[in-house]
Amino acid sequence: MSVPQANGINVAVSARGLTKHYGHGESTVKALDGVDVDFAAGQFTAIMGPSGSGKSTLMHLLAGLDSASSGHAYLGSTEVTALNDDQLTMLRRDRVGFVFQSFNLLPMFDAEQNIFLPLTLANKKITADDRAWLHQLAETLGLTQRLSHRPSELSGGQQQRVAIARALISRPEVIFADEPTGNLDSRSGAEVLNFLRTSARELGRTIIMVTHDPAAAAYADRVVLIADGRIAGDIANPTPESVLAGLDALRTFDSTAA
Amino acid sequence: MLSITFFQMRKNIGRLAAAGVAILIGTAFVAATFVAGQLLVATTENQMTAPFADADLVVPASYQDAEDMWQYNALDEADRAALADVEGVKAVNAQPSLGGSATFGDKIEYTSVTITNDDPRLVVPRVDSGAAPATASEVALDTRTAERMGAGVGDSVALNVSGEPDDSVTMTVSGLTSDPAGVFAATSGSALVSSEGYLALVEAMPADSELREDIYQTLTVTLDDGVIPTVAAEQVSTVLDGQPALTPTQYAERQLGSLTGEANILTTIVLMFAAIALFVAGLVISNTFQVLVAQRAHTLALLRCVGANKRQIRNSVLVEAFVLGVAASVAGIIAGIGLIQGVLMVLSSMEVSSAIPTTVSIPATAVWVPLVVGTAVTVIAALVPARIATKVSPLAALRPQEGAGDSGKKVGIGRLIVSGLLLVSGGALLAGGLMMSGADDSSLEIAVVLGILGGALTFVGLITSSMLWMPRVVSSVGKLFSSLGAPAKLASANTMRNPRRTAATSTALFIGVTLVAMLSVGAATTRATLNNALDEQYPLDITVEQYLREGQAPASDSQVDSTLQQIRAIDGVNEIVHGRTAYVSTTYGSGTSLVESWDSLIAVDPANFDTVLRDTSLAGSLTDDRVLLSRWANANDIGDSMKLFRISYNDDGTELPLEEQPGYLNAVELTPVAGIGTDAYVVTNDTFDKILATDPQASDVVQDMYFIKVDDVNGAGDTVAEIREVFSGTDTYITGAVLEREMFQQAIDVMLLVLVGLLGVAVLIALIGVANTLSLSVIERRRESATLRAVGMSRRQLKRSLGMEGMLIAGIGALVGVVVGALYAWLGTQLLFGGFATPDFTVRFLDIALIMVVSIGAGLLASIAPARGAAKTSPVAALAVE
Ligand SMILES: Nc1ncnc2c1ncn2[C@@H]1O[C@H](COP(=O)(O)OP(=O)(O)O)[C@@H](O)[C@H]1O
Ligand SMILES: [Mg+2]
Repeated sequence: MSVPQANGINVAVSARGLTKHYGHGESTVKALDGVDVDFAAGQFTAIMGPSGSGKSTLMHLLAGLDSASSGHAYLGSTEVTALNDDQLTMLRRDRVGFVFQSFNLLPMFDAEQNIFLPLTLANKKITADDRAWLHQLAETLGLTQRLSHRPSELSGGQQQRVAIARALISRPEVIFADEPTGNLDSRSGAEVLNFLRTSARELGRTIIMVTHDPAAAAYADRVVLIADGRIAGDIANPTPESVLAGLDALRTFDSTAA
Repeated sequence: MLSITFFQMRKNIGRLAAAGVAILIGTAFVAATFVAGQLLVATTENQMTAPFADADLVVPASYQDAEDMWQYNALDEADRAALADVEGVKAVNAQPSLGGSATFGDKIEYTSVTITNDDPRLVVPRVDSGAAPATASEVALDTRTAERMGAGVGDSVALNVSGEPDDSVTMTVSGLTSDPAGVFAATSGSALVSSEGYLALVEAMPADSELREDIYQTLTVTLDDGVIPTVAAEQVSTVLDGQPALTPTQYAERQLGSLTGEANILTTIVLMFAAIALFVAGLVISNTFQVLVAQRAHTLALLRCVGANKRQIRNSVLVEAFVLGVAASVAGIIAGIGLIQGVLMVLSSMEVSSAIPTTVSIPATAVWVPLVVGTAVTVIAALVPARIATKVSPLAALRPQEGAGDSGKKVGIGRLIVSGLLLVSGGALLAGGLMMSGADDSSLEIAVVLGILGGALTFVGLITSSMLWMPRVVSSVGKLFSSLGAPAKLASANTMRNPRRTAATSTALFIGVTLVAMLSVGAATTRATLNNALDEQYPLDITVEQYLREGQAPASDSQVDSTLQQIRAIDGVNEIVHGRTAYVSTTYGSGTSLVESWDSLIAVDPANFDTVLRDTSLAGSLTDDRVLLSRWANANDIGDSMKLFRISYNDDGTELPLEEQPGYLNAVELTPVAGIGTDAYVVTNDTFDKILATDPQASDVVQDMYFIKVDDVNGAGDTVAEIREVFSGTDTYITGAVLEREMFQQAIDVMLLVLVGLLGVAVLIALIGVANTLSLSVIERRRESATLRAVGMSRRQLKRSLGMEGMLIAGIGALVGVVVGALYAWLGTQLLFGGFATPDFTVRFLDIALIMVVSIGAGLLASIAPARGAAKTSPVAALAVE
């Protein structure tokens, strides 16, 4: 199987004919319907669309969190849709990072332990190199004073920054974020988004973020629009205005289609 | 509100059922105890009436009169004959008071005697082969007795009812019997004779024998069809000058008065263990409800938002507990009764004894006590969770659902004070008991009572304060543990996030394990301490003394040799030595302070004798001019020489004066030396022969002895049985450290087994608690498990982590229990033995290892189902927003 290449740019993540059905017979929901999409390496991409359009489902399948009904998803040259559970576990450990809407830090561990969790789970020794990386991350994220705090002692924004550090600690190829600002006020949200953008630009990470907030999407390098489980648009160098316009176009498209 | 309660119950039915099992087991224990207590009484009643076969009426020689005073009125043949003429009486038999022995060839066997009758309802043994005795000169022997003697149908045996072979009547064996009702299980079976035969046996006794006065214990009567027993009883009683006649049931009921009391004490003791089990079940229930309430916090808050008041919330939890308690108790009662019925079915299929009923009868207590107690325990256990539920603020409904655990909560000050008081006062009582136990014998009882009270108080104190110290133990053990890789780190962190829940779960196990460990260490220490005491008391493993009957010749050299060979061939026998014994006069001192006494003297070959001694420090100390002192002799009084001789008598039976005793005059002066702890003085064979040479009858009074050393003093049960077999049929007396050890070790082992079995129920319930806590935690941590999976935890790691958590919770409870249990055992044995022996504190590490392995293994087992559930969680769940 050939690994998709787009215009000589390195593709970090891609999907071909990716389809996901929920349920059987009459009540079948087509959450994703033959999606073809590429995400360039080192780019910050936002996936946008109305509620229920299949954004989260797309992300789950790309990250190997859930199995596809048909089609293929690739991470670099690895076909994610062909891996078994153990291989997927390894993939998640080493090659992808996650940022969740509700942070999902472990309440009994402090910030540092939470950040090192992927290394701990991989039974890796924490090297001086890892520590240096942690301190660099903490510095950039403004967490240096907070490393020994438990999640219950941190604000939502701080918790989400810890989660981002956790996602970055094993230097993964791709970071997936599902509504990372959904539970944050706008100021904390802006901090988090700024940092995600920095991670892509300065640390060279590929970031794929699901959001329904046009302002959040405007931080990205590119916006992929999705509706009814299909790709419905692509906006390069988005601004809040261009994103809103794109969404409006979707709605008109929706209403004319209906 | 009620409908919401039931909705929530249905939703959590699995959790509730798991908690209900704890109550079920506890109430089953209570119900089974009551049923078994009733059964014990019924079985004893059956055993009491079994000697009467199927009689309608009995007349016992001993009875209670109108004033409830015990009377004894011996029954004789005239009484028996008189009853036969009473109207309505069909047949009369009697239960003999006398029993004796049967001799066949050189074999002698003790036996009870029963009388046969034309009415089979009055005959106790069952004739299996041959026929019942028809004449005065026939006897039907118990099959096993006959086998041991080697007698069969047609053989002539000599039977007596006095135990004196001289009083025997020779009878022909007409048949062989068995004892299906187990009446003679405790003795060696019974010889069945005709009533004329029994009278002939009585006649054979010397005319002046007192035994002739009292030949029947009970008269047994059957009645003609249609005769009412109570009416006939009055007529029978009239004929016997007012001696009461009773139905067998009436008889048993009168006798049982005191026995029922004993059965009740037994039931009460067992119920104490049931109470411990139920207490542990209460802890499990309380834990479960607390977790359920925590999980429902969102719903409860919502209910509060829409107008439910605190009372309604609290009642909802209590109603839930009540329904659970009733359901679980009913199931427990059925299970407990069913269990006993199952045991009865097994027993009856094994034909253990016909005295044991085949179906249970259910006393009312077996139903209402467990029902009330089980329900009450459940509702009481839910009181704290119910209060916690009322504290959920309506506002909580508006907050996102992220529980931070309960680590911040403080332990109530009241609990602190109560625990402190319990520990301090219990400790003081224990200290007092320890001090008193050393003082003197009379204070030992008080010391023991103080000790038990102090032990119980401190134990309760430890339990009530466990919320205070158990979390610390959990956290320090957890920290040690967390260095063992990612799953271990996660497991130990998880046990510490809800310290109270972990502590409560561990405490439930701690209770049972403490008691089991205490028993194990206590039993091992008791055993070791008693072993030391016995080693001092018995220098020899086994001593066999063979009595000679009148006129019986001592064993010949070849007979002795054959006995030695037979014993040596037995597995486990290390060495055997032959010796001889006789009574002699021991004389020491001089002039007016001459002391003379009458003692046993043993003769051995010194070189051989040393080989059977366990304590080798005295080997070689016996020479021809020395005597080893008996352990009763006081070496200080004796001085440096003593004389041993046989007493000579005048023709009229009086003793010759000392200065005329040929034995004394010719006696060798012997130097007394420290003995080896025998009950007799010991000399060499040559010295013994010299001492006896002065007495012409000496050969008649010398008896054979054997001294045996076994390979292993502690495991010689089979060896002893085989040795007994060699000497069976002869008149022998076997003693020694081995036998005593066997006896008390068996007693200790059986007691330990029973008590540990009873406590096992509490441990089992606690382990159910571990499983319950784990699975509840897993449900709570669904999102966390998913997150862990998303950031790179494998299924295996997740399962391993939960397994370790289970092992950690169980292991900590067991570890603390073992340590505290050993401490209590140490205190207890100090208290019990401190006064008269140095307790040899002994821990059987195999037992301790077993307790730990079982607990930790069960912790692991308890984690399997929850771990499976957790591993199934899809990592997608981590992203879901509720
Ligand atoms: N586990 C599920 N079972 C059934 N249907 C689902 C499930 N998850 C998502 N869906 C459906 O699939 C569609 C896409 O969902 P999702 O990808 O979560 O949308 P988005 O994230 O864009 O809001 C929706 O119609 C949703 O109802
Ligand atoms: Mg979504």
